[in-house]
This record gives sequence, structure tokens and C-alpha cells, in this order.
Amino acid sequence: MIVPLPRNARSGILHLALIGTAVWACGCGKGGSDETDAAGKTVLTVWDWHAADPSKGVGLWLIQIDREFERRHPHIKIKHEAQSHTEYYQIFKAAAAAKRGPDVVMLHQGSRILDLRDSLVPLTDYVTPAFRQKIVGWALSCEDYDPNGTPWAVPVAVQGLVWYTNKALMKRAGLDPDKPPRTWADFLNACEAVKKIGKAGIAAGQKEGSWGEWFINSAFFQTLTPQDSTRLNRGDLKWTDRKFVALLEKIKELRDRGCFQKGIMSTPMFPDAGEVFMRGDAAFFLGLISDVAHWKEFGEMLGPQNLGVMTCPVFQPGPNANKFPAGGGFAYAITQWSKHPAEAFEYIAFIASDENAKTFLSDVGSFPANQSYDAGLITDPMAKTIAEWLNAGRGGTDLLGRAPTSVNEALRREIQRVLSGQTDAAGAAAAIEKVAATARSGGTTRR
Amino acid sequence: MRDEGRKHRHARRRGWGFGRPKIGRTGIVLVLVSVSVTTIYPLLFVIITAVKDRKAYILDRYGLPTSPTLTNFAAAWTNAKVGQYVWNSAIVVVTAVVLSWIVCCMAGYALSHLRFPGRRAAFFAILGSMMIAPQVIIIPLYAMLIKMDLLNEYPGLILVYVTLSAPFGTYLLTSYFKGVPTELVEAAQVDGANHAQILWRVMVPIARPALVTLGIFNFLWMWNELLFALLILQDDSVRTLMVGVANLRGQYTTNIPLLSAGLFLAATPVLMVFMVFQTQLTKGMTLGAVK
Amino acid sequence: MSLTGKRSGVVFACLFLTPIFLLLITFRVVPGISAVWHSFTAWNGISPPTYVGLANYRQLLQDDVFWTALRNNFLLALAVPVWITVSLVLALLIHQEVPGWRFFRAAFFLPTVLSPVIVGTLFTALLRYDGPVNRALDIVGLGAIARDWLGNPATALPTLMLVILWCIFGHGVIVFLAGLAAIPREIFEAARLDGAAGWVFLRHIVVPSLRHVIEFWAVNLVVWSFTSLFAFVYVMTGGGPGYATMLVEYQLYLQAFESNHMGYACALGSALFLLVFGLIILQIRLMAGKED
Repeated sequence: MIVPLPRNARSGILHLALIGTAVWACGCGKGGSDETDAAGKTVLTVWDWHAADPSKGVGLWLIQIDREFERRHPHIKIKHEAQSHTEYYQIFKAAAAAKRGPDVVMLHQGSRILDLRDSLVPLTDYVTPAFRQKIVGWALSCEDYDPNGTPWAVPVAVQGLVWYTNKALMKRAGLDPDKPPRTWADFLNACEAVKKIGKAGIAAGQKEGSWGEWFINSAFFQTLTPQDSTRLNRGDLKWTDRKFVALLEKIKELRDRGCFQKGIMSTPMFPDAGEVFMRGDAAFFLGLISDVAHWKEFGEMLGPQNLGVMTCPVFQPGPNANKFPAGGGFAYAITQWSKHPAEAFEYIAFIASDENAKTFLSDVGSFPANQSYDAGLITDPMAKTIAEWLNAGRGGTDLLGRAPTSVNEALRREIQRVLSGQTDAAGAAAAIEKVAATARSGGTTRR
Repeated sequence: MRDEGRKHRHARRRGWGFGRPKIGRTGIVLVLVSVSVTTIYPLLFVIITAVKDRKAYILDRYGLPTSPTLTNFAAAWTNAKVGQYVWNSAIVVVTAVVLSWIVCCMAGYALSHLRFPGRRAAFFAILGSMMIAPQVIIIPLYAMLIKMDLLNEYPGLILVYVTLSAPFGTYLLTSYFKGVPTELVEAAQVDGANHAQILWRVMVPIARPALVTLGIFNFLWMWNELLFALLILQDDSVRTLMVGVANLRGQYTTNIPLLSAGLFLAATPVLMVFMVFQTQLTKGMTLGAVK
Repeated sequence: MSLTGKRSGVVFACLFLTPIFLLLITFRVVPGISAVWHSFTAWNGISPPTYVGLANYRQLLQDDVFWTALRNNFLLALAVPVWITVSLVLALLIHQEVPGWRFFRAAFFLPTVLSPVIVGTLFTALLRYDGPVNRALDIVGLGAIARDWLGNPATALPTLMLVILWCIFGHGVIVFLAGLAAIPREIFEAARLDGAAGWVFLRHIVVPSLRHVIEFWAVNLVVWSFTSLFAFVYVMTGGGPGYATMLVEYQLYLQAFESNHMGYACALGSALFLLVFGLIILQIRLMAGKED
């Protein structure tokens, strides 16, 4: 049967569609890595979430590294594909299930890496002892969280949580700007003083529940020893234990005393909560030490003379009370289906190299995992202080990076419930323990 | 809340019945106008915000813009990759709409004018499949698409959309085709046409209103669909517009004007389709509802 | 022989019905069966699944999050009569064909045309603590009730309900308008002559005449509320604060694609299916019951 020539719009559309269908059937649609391009070069596909904004910060740094690496290795071409942070792991898991995707992948250190180890290449043969020595933070990228175990990824950045203070605001509230509150009681009083001048004590963003998670990571050193944290994550210590519940109680206390700005439950952490702090509407902010919501950003907005830094106010004195979580920034791993693992590791090693560590600190304003940089070269006073703290050994591995994803999710939500008055500390802990118990019993997941 | 208030106010006025001209009518118009304000204002807000630059927005969030600018639209086009995503959406949706027409026309004709054993069963089977909610099948479907190598490929999402649209579309067209007098079909048969020719030459032209309605309806929901698009076309190069918009929040939350510009651009195709075909659609939407 | 007559009917029927059945079986039925099968396994989506029998269902029964989500779903379903009434009343008003009725019909339908993603993003911005809605309340002197609408667990779900109402009432208006158009004028005339007005008119004349349409729309809305609100939750609240706006549909997504508990998610899906199926049967029975 001969199909009549198009005489009206409808037939026309139909014809177009049939042609279109034929076209896409011939295989458009993307995904998957090409191993060699037309010029015979080896192509390495790299995934991360930072290069989505290549104009500044980490994104720019990464792109520049690509250029330099290609220059030094003319037979390798880097194909950089930035993914959205929001569903980064979902996308990667889909790629892993289909066994195609990037050669090199950026990952958050911690349980995420271990969850995905079925799709990664163990780096034991690639990581030399000298290399291992230089870089800090292996614990969160190695098997069993053992810094000497099988490494699944190479740490590149050191992330951490410190409390920032707005000195100008503190002065206005009648507080000594150079003496940030050290005890919990002092801290609560400081918040009250700030409230009296019409500002908020703490700027926080609880929409995704991150603030609660950060607070726990910042404060747990006071009640849990490193052994306790391992036991907690293994299930030998319960989340309903006094030592953990104390942390939740502190959160509740902050809420009951009205220390936060209004509307934290619908404020996202990035960048809104940071903005509240930068605008000078709150005196204290629990922030990061690298990349974003950190000393560089705040220093630029508030002026370095107005910015102060402190660790979590102490409510339970102890040997570890002055520690802050440091370690576990982003890391790079090699995927199992990659056809060029050796080149991939060369690339990763280059990113984590001494020279790039230097630029990471000076240009990006972030702390590299590679410790070979000269701390004396740091000019920013806050960064200097933090570096001094790191050198003095005040940095410690955080608590929640090693917890299973489902526990973290439950924890975030339970803290939201505490902060909105739906539950108390004990109830929240019980709920978290319930989820943890399911996760431990193998529940319905297979590792 | 506001709508409840309106309802009660109207109930008071209703004591005057529907016969009273002036005051009763004014009251009714007032109610309708207020509701229209709630539906139109949000869109206006988006447009007004989109033409402010970032500083202007921070200074005055809700007022009218003092110096409107179009830079946000340009920025949204590039930063939010609207230009790239809209193309992906267009390919997927247009293809799916056309394929859906084809599939539903054929099925509709078979169920309305062909005689064969099991016709009733087939009809109810197709209709019954609507009961399987998308959430139930989403995981095995996802795994299946990976195995079939259709993840991150346009055909993956297209076939899913066509499948999802098939039962309703078939139902609509079956009803409509049933209304076509059998004499026309018989006349064509006498002329020697086979069923394919009857479908193409007789049924389709007559069912044009239903087809247009179905097409618009499918276009609207497919263009706006989020869940399957989010899961099947994940790769940045094939991502659809709605997913791109949903993720604007993650990266550009500060820049509300930029976000608004992006939202507006995302809504434009649908709004255009709506404006042009509005009467058609509102008349046609009810083809299936009223027996 | 010529391709007409009974045999050709069967041949063409097979031909014409193949595409749709192929699609439905491949992309709906097979996954459906697969989902049920996987609900009896522990599976992370990548490695082969392990059979665990009824463990997932037992976990489901003890899962507080699931029961909270279910409760939220039922609360939403309870809002359906409100959604219907609003649409019905507005449809009646437009039916009067007051000046500008075509404009109103279009204006009401406008929100339906917008994607839930856009609606969600827009209203998240509008409903912020320092957003236009609270500002407007302040201006009209109702500043006292201003609050963090989506961040307050007490108001999060109702606010979500209202946003959804805003989104779909127009669709209902159109549906009811068509139904009203089908009612013979004489009934309206007779009612007016009899002096019936207002509430009486609504209850005893309009509603019975529109019964089929109302029931159709009610079933539609209830099923919709259980299966199609994902985009709203994803964009506006993420199920929070805490679990205040968690819905079964959203929990399924989280379990499957964030926590990788695919087997458990399949169990959730099967439970959801049974629920929706049951509701539909129930409502059809109710409709048939009123038929006499």
C-alpha cells in the first residue's frame, strides 16, 4: 500500500515522526565511556560534582589540572563529565549496574565508598608506602575503615567542621570578640546576648537535615572515645546509649533556648544558611573548612578581621573535648569496568600530587589531603589557625561517615523531629537504633 | 483556606437564588475573580522575579522591578542548560505522542469495529493494566531497561511513556470510534478497502478532535513528567527539562531570579500549547468523563 | 480473496492489537510480576537477589515510617471531598455563564498545565518564612499566623494539600462543567420555578444528576493521591520535616534509589498496589450500591 503524500499537517507530522524514529533508532542517546577517540588517544572519562561550575573554586582547579595532565601526557585525553550533586550516587549506581560509565569517579569518603566497592578497583598495588605516608585521611577510604587496609579511593581533600563567629556581632552584643565561648553554659549565654540585640544565635539549615548531622559530628568527641565510635558503628554500642543521647539532648536544648534563626526547618544549608551568617544576621555558624561555607567565603564577605573560629563549646570536659572532625573530603576511585586503570591512577595521583596540593590551598582555599604543603605559607588568619589545630592533632575522624546510609537518613530525620518539637532525645535515639538494628541484621539489603 | 472562605460567602448569597440578576452575579464574578487571582499571581510572580537582577531581588523581593533585565533568561539558558535539556524533552515527548497515536488508533479500531473472539477480554485487560501503579513496576522496569541497554537512551523513556499513555488513549479512541456509524465502514469495505485503509482513510479523519485532544493531553503530562525521566535519562547529555529544573534548586538556590527565569523557560512550551489549544482541550478532556 | 469479512477481522485484530499488548506486557505486566517476586528477596539492584521469604513484609508491618506514610496518605485522601466540593462549586458558578466565563475557565485550568516541579519550586519560594505569603498576611494584619509553612510539622501536610488543591482544582472544574452541560435545561428551569435555591438546589438537583461524574472524579483523585504525588514531595519537602509529609510512594523511591533496599521497596510497591486496588473495588461497589 502506498502511503499518500502529506497533504495536511497531520500526515506531515506523522512522516516527520517516522523519520525521526528511524533516526534515533540508529542509535542516538548517550552514556558509556569511549576508550579511544578518533586520534587514537586513550580517553579517560571522569565524573565529579564540582566541575559543574568550572568558573571558580574546585571546579576551576580541576579543569586546570585536566589541561596540565593532558599537556604532560599527550596520548591521554580527559573527558570530564560533571554530574548533579543531588542524585550523584543514584546515577553512579545505575552506571555500575550497567557496568559502563566513568573510568575515574569522585566520591565522598566514608560509607559511600564502601557501599560501592563492588564497582571499584582496589588500589593496593597502585598506592606506594611513600604515597600513603604523604596523604592523610585513609581511614575513610579503606576497607574496614582501617587506615592500613585495602584502599578503595585516594583522598584528595580534607574536609572538616568548625564553628565560625561573627566578631563584630559579638562585640555589639557585649561579648568579647576575641574570646569565643568555650563552655556550653557560656555559649548559651552568648546566644541570649545576641538575641537581645535582635539577631539570631546560630545560623543553621535543616531542610535536608545536614545541620543536625554536622552538630553530632562536631560534638561527639566529648562523649564518645574513638573506640566507642567504632563500636557504635559496628553495633556493639547502641544508639540509645547515654553517650549518644547526650548529644541529641544538647540539640534539643539549643532549640528550647531559641538559639536558631527563624525558619531553619525550611532553610537549605547551602547557601541559604551560610548567607544568613554572611549577612550578619547570626553570630555563630557551624561550617566547613574547605570548598564552601568556609573561612575563605566568609572572610571575603565579612572581612577577615570580623571572622573568628572555634571548636564546639564543651559540655562534657574530657581529653578529646577540643577536637574537631577533620578528614574525609572528596576522594577519587577507579571503576572496575575501566579499560585503563593504570592511566586512571596516574591521573588520580597527579590530582593528589604535591604541586596540586599547593594550588588547592592557595587558589581554592581548601585543605588538601596531601600534607606536603608548607603551612607557613598560609596567609589567611583563620586558615592559619585551622592548620595549626590540624598540626597539633586536634583533628579527628568523624562519627557518622562510617554509619550506614539508612542510619544517617534516619538520624537526619529524627533530629528534624527533635528540632520541630515532635519528639525528644530518647525517642529519637530509639528510632535511630531501630533502623540501625535492621541494617545490622542484614535486614533486607545485601552488601 | 482562602477557598473555604469564598465558599461560605457564596453560600450566604445563594439564598437569593439564581434568578436575581445584578447583585447575585456580581458576587459570583467577585468570587471567580479572586480565585483567578490565586491562579495567575504565582506565574506573574515568576515573571516579575525573573526580570530582576540578583541585587534588585535581594533589595526588594515582592515589588515590581525597577530596571527589568533579560540577562537571567540568557543565563538560565546556558547555566541551567535549558537549551540542551529542552531539546531532549522535545525529542522524547514528540516521538512518544506520535507513537501513542499510532498504537492507540490501531487498538481502538480493533476494539470498536473488528469482530473477533476475546474482544471484551482484550478491552478489559487493557483497561485493567491501568491499575498497576507506576511505583510498583518502577524497580523491575529500571533493572529491565538496564539489561536491555535502554538506560540513558531516548527509546527507553519513549517506550515507557507510550506504554503509560496506551490504556487511557485506547479507551478514549475506542469510545470515539464506536460513535462512527458502521455504514461508513461497510461502504468502504464494499469499495474494496482493507481494515488498514479503513482506519487511515475513514476513522482517523473523523476522529480528529479526539486525536487532537489525546495529543495535547499526552504532550502536557509527558512534558511535565518527573519520576521516570529522572530515573531513565540520568546522563547529563540526555536529561529532560523537568529534571534539569528540579535540580536547579540544588545548585542555584541563591539566585532566585535565575531560578525563576529557568522555571519560566521550562513552562513556556506547555503554556504555548495550552494557549493555542485551550478550547479544544477543555472540550475534549471530558470526552471520557461523561457517559 | 478480498481482505474483508470475518477472517480478515481476526487477522487485522491481531495485527492492530500486537503493539499495545507487546508494550503493556513488556513494560507493565512483566515488571509487575517481577516486582512481586522481588518483594520476597533481599536485593540491592546490582548483585543477584537472595530469597528471604516474608521477611520484607514482616519488616513492613513493623516499619514506623511506613505506617506514618500510610497515615499521611489517608489524611490526604480525606481531603478529596474538599477538592471535589471546591471544583463543583466553582464549576456551578462558571456554568452561570457570567461575563468572562471563558476567561475564568482558562485561568482555573492554568495550574493544571504547569508541571508539579514548577508548582513545587514556586510555592517553596512563596511559602518561606520570609516569603511573599507571610508578607501578605502581615500586610492584611494577619501577621500573627505567619509561620514556616512547609517547615513546621503541624502545617507541612495541610500546606501540601492546599498546594495540590491549587494545582488540580481546575481540572475538576472542567470535568464538572462538561457534566453540567449534559444536564437538560429543563431540570434547572423546573427547580427555579419551584423556588429551590442554594444548598437545596445543590444537594438535591445538581449532585444526583452529576453522580456518575462525581464518582468518576472521586475515584480518580483518590487513586491519584496514592500514586502521583511524587514530584510535589520531591521538590517541596523531601518527606519532611522528619516524616511529616512522608508518603508511601516517596518512601518507595527512597528505599529503592537512595538506600538500595530494592527488595523492600518492591514489597512497599506491592502493598501500595493492593491498597489502591482495594480502594478502587471499594469505590466501585459503593457506586454500584447507590445505583438502585
